[in-house]
Amino acid sequence: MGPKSNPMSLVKNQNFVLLLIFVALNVYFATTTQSYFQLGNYFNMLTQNAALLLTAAAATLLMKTGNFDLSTTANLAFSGVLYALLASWGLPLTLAAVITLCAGICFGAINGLLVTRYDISPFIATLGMMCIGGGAALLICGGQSVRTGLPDNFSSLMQTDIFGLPTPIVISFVGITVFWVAANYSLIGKYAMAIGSNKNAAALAGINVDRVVMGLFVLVAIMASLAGIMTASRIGSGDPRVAEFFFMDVIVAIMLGGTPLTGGRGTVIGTVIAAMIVIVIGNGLNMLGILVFWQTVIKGVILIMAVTINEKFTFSRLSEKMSAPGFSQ
Amino acid sequence: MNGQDENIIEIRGIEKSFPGVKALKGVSFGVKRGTVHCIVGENGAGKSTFIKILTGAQPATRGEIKLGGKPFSPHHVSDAIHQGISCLYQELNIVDELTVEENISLGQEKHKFLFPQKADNLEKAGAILADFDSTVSLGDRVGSLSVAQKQIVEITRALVAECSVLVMDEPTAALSLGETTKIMQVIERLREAGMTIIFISHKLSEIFEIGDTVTVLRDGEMVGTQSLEGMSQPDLVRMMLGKVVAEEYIPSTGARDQAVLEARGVSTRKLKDVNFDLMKGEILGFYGLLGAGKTEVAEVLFGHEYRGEIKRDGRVLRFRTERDALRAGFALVPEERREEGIFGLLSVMRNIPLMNLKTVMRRGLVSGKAERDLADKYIDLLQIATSGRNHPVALLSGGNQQKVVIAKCLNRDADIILMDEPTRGVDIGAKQEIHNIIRDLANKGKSVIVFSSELQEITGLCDRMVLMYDGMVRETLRNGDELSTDYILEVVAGKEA
Repeated sequence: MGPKSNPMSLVKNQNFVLLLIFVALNVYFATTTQSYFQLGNYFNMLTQNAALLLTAAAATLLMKTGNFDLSTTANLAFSGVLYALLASWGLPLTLAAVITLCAGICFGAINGLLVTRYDISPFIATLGMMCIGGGAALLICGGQSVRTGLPDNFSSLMQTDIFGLPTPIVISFVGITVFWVAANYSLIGKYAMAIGSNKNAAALAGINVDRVVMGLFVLVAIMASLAGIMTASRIGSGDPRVAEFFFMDVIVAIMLGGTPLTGGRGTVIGTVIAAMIVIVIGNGLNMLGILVFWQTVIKGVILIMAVTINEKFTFSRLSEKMSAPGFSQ
Repeated sequence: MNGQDENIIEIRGIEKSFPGVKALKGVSFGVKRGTVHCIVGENGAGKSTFIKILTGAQPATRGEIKLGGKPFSPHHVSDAIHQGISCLYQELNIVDELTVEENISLGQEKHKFLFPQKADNLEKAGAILADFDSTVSLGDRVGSLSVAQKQIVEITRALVAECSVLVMDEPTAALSLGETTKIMQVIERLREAGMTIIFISHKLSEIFEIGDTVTVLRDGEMVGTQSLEGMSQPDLVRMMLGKVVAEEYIPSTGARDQAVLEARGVSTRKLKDVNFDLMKGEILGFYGLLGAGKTEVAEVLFGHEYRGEIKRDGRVLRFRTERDALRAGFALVPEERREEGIFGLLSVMRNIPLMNLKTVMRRGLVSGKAERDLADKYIDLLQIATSGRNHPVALLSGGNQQKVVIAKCLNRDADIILMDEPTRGVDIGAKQEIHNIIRDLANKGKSVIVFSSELQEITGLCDRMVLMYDGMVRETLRNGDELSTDYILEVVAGKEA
């Protein structure tokens, strides 16, 4: 019975607003810089950030349950170094990738186990794993990035094309589509939403809350691990210090995209558009010749703004509810 | 139909122990098929524990339940649902973000590779829903519905799951009058359709309106199961409260002729036109059953919003926050001691000055000596049994924790002290000591308001008592020899004064 055909509802639609911001940013950078508005630049942006888009889309499902993962950076670094290390030992790349993904799953399994079985808050559990994983990445390579002894085709994953599109873009596009379908049309998405919205009700309805949360932690870990493999092949080495702010970018994208830390709502599309906004700002500022350090500052500002706006949104909806019949006398 | 009189549920000797407490001490009764069976009891009677056992949320320690003649021991809520017992809990268990349809099928969806299939019972759900409330449709987002409508969605979900017994735990607690009527009608129709309903409510008028049979629990024990036909409300209250042993009442020594607080026409969502006076040096008691409005009066006096007028020494008060109330000379000993009263990890010494740190500040800093002196003073004054002033408050007994809370309020030097359930969870000796402390305060010219659900406490302690029923003040009595506990019971059970 909501105001479905109200023209105001389009403005209230967070994804639409995000899309407007995205378009506005593109217009701005296209007019102020010369090299921004070119197909090559867009391919470049997407290739560089395919790993981010993929992980953020998957992590949106996790955040919808009211959980989150800070250890994605560590997982990415660890997986990247391990993949390069295995490759340098002469293992076929496919086998190296499979072993790396299996190791990456451990991050999710441990996070999930700590959160579901031992009732540790996701903040502590994944912060702990962030330190452990980050340290492990440095340990297995002795603090030096793995760049010698790599096979010639080490970077081919990221440099080949499929139907004229760079492979990483195709991978992230397929991944995003899968997670979008999962979030909107499958039981996983529904259950994630139900758990974040009212965990008790979900459990009483017979949903195995622990299994869903556990599964989503593992899913995010697989994606972060894949992100590590993709990053290693993109830069052509296993660098334990690469993408320090990856977990931060993932969370900024999800929260700006309309999923609160407490879960219960949010969309994969929102996350993807928000991630694109962050990516475009980074790329555009580079083009404008603004110091890279500013990007970090700006990300922080965006995160705080996103949370503030989200809180306001939740609050206004809550007060709407309070004035609904049944709450008043 | 054969077996109209057959018991659908047979409960035999159910016991439930928690570490240190026995919540249920052998409950046995039968529930007849197609009736509304009410369960009543005051706080701590064991109602919620019993519901949890019946619906599979917790296992029983001992005893057995038979459902339709077969042994029934659910290990999980979904076990109970599959066997035909569904429950509407006090808090709504429904997901606001999903639609009505999605909520009805939540957790029970038919799916292919995790993609939900169109449910085959959709038509049935739609028909049931339309039957109860034609304004709700399956596609509505649940967040946009009213509380009563959400309950109807929950009931529909239970019916779609083909339950034969519906447990309703205080379904009307959050409802307005109009919505309550609506839910009562729904229950009526469910009974006509042959459904068995277990109905828990503290609103006795509802019990008499809708119920066929009532089981009364008190302190985890079953007092009795009776037909509600021919039973009167005071009879039921007497069963709920048990025998009241009058405690010796000693009047406060003060003159008690000067009003320090006057409340006129105080109303909130729950309270209706509450009037009372509080005299200097008096202990005023508020008594009523659960939900009569005692807590709300305490809240109003401590900063919650209200309509009407409250005067302190002739000046109109307007509190916006708890701080305002404190500044006006009020102090509250809250009902939930652990959550609102004590700072459990802090020591006795650190707890006592917290409502008035000025008393331990010397030249802008907290002085250890002042803290120690203050703690020693109150430990001595209130006879707080602690191994030392550095003992964490969480490790004290309930009675001594309460004394620490009272010490905190005394150190505030408030003139009006509100005490919500001052002796709940306190052993008998400490109870007497706390009563003596309260009496002492009044004799020293403080005014004390005691909110209690224990009649014995009210009649033994208070100089005057305000009897509440359904948000209204029914009568104000002066304590003395001619006081009749039977009469008080009748008033709080709803008899017109």
